[in-house]
Amino acid sequence: MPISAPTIYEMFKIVLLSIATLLLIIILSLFFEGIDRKLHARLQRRIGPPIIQPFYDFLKLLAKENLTPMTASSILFNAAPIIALVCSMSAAILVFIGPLTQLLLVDLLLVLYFLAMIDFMIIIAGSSSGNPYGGVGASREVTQIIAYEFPFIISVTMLAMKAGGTFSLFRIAEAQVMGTFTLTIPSVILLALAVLLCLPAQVLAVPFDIPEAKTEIIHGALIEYSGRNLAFMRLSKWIKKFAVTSLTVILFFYHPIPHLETSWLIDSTFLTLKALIVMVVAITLPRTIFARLKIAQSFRFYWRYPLALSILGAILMFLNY
Amino acid sequence: MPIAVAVAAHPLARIPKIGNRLAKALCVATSYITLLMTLILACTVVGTGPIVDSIFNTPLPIGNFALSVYVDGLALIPTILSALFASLALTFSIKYLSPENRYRSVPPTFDRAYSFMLLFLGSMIGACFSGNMVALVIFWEITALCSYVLVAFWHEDPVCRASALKTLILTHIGTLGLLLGAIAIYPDVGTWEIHSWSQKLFLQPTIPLAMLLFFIGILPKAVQFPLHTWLPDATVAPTPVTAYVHVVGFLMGLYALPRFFSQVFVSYISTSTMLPSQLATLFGNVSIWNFIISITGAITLIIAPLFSLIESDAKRLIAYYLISALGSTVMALGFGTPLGTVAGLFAMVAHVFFCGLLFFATGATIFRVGKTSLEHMGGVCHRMPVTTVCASIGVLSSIGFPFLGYFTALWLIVHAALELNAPAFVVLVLLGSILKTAAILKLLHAIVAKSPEDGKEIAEAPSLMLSSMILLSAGLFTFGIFPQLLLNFLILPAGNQLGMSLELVAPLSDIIAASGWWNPVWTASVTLLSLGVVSIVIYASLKGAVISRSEIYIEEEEAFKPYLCGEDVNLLDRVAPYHFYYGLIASIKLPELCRAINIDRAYYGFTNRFSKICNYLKQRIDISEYHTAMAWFLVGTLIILLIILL
Repeated sequence: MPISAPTIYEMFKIVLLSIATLLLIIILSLFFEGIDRKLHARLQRRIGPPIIQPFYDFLKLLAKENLTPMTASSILFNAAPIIALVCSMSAAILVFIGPLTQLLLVDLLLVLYFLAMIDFMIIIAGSSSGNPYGGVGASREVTQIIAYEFPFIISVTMLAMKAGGTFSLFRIAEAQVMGTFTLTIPSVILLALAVLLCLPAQVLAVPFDIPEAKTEIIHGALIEYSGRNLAFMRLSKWIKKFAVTSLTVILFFYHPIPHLETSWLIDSTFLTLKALIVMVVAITLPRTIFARLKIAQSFRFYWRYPLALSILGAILMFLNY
Repeated sequence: MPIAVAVAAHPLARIPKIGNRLAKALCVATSYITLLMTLILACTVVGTGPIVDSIFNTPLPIGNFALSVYVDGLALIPTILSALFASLALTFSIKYLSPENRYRSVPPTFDRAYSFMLLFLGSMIGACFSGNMVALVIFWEITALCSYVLVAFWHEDPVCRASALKTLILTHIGTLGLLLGAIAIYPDVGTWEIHSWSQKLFLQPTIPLAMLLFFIGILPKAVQFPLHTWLPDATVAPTPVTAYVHVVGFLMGLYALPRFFSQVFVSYISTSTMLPSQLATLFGNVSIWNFIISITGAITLIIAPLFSLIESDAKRLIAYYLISALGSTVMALGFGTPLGTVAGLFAMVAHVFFCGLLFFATGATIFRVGKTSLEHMGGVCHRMPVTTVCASIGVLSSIGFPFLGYFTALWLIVHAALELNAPAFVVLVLLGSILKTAAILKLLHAIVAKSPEDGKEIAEAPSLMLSSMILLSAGLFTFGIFPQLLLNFLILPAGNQLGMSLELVAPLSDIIAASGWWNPVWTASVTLLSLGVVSIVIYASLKGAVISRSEIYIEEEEAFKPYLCGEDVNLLDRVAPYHFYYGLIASIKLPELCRAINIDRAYYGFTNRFSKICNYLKQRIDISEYHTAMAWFLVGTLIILLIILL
């Protein structure tokens, strides 16, 4: 299909759309975090915080004092939260309006890099904090990124090849609506499983929250943060959770209820609902059931099961299954 | 012509007696003039097409030798970049090569670094512009010799001498390959003019051999897998010199690759056998030759960062990083498709900027701190804020931050691979970039994060050094947000003059490939929008928050080193090479892996054997066993004759 570039008027429309989307995304991701916490508590037979607790947390942190320790490298230490937040917002906007409009063939590579930037910023924050716990957190984060990105990238690339060799989110969603690939194909199921297994590590949820283990290394890279900087770091993590789950929906679960180009409102509602389900299944449930692993265990896990699943999926895909 | 200017500069620059300052100023000025002239030349070439000219016609027994000049877009890209980088590196070295240098102080007199860097630049321009194979080999040889001299800058040190020798030997394998390739192909084409080869090449049986030899010739200069080991060792030279030798050296290799394999041999490659279908599902529909080039790049891309993960020397780490980044470029150039070539050329430009920036920032830190090892650097953030910001920009660019240049290159490479239906190459590029990121973040951690060892007064780097770094950072920003400037002005014309037509940049500055498009300007506006929201929040929170407090308790209080599940945290205080990523290193047994893939061991083993044989022969002569010695001599001669005959 030929790709035509948008005109200035269409560009303007997209920019307006992204302004609206940005506010929506901040609210939605805060709600996602609230639902996650509430559900986690209910599954453990606790009452749990109210669903709008993340709003309170965020606003309270903003009003607190912003400290920079003397041992920290202040430039990087203070720039990292802002860059992380900006990157997560951009990624979420791109993911959210990616499948909405044909005008904007949002590139998967761009989204992946924006998402990865959040992790890199956490690493930089940890190493610039001047605290040994921060250094440990940064080192573990790097190890974990290398662990989970291998299966994640293989799965996503294979899926893009299956969708006709395109990295555009709209084309991938379109391929599912057209029926080029659906979740009934064995290889796609394997790839989807691999990506779902990678999600907890992407958002640092409990079995894989080793880089910021609360009870062990006291939030690792975030240890020295307070006030506004901590609020930004938290918000960027929450937005990342929302963006990653939405991305998974677009990549794999667009098919069962096809809702492409109906209306933007219906489309985004479905996207959000499915993302919520994905979050509950892939992040909340494991985080309730399992306890934290050690870094070497997590590394071994990712290089064993998800990697095997993704490679098996790739092989099946070559055999046209 | 720029050649004349650059070459004429050397005798001028060699007059140190007038005054050292004058000679230095002259060298620097010459490099800037060269840059200006190449830029002017670029405007002409892009406007009107390639310039063909020939000077010094001399009939020789091996064929008519003429120093013919052939300037097209492809030749201009490395030329402009090397002239630019030479000017910056010379500016940088005025301060670096001075008695103030804490690493090794250098007397303030004019020294050979300046003149040889200029000679390198001149021969580099000569090699790129010459349309004659003999001239190209000669200029190529001069650059190899220059890099030998430059690496051995501190020649009192045996380590420097050894690595200079290694540089000389490995780059000479390349020159030998080029020369033999040219000799092998000469009987078929009957001319030394490179640009008339492509019409005269049909399906002669010698072509595969010549192509293989050319490829081997390009390997060491493009720093690819089996012959890449000279580059990390060559970092013993002063930092601006290292940066210059590395950056400009690889530009030559990257120039020769598309010149030979996308222009001269392109008709042969297109008729050669394709990959078998089992491999083609993984590596795309490419011919076997393109596959060989690309897979060499991919191997380099993956193995080089593994070494940098356990490296403790700052400059060696960057060198391995550079090798890995070059691997992806060679991979893209190896595809042979228009998009791949454009991607490779764009990546080449981005590399010069961010690798130069990383080298300069590290150099400035070494200049002030006086150590090259990561274990002894660090804590410069407060004392050298501008350097820190520049280093961070370099690091961000190299890990693929979307508006800092290198991301566009990565995007183009990935889409070139997608266009070929080659999932394996896509995966390899992305995995390689993750490994590279891990390595470069270690550098940032080491330079910035921890406190310096002793209470040395560390000040901000001199302004001449800073100006080079700031210029490179500005370049990264410009080409990051407006890559179409570079694409439209230089790279697409170069591709067109290679005979590749490609519509890539749409009116509204979207970059469009078959598998998607991306618009840096639009994305930047989205990001700016987010930044706006964030700054509103910051502003609001500033009003609400308690931000000032009186000067109370500032006590030195150190956190207790935690004991964590068998991880020794004390090792993190100094970034010991083997311990920063202990989890990762222990999990994939990195030291053993690196030992297994270290090709240097093979070279050392080979040279040891060789020297043993030579010693043995020498002993034969010493004890007057002339027959044995003569027999060995005959065997050696026969082997060389056989090689030549084949």
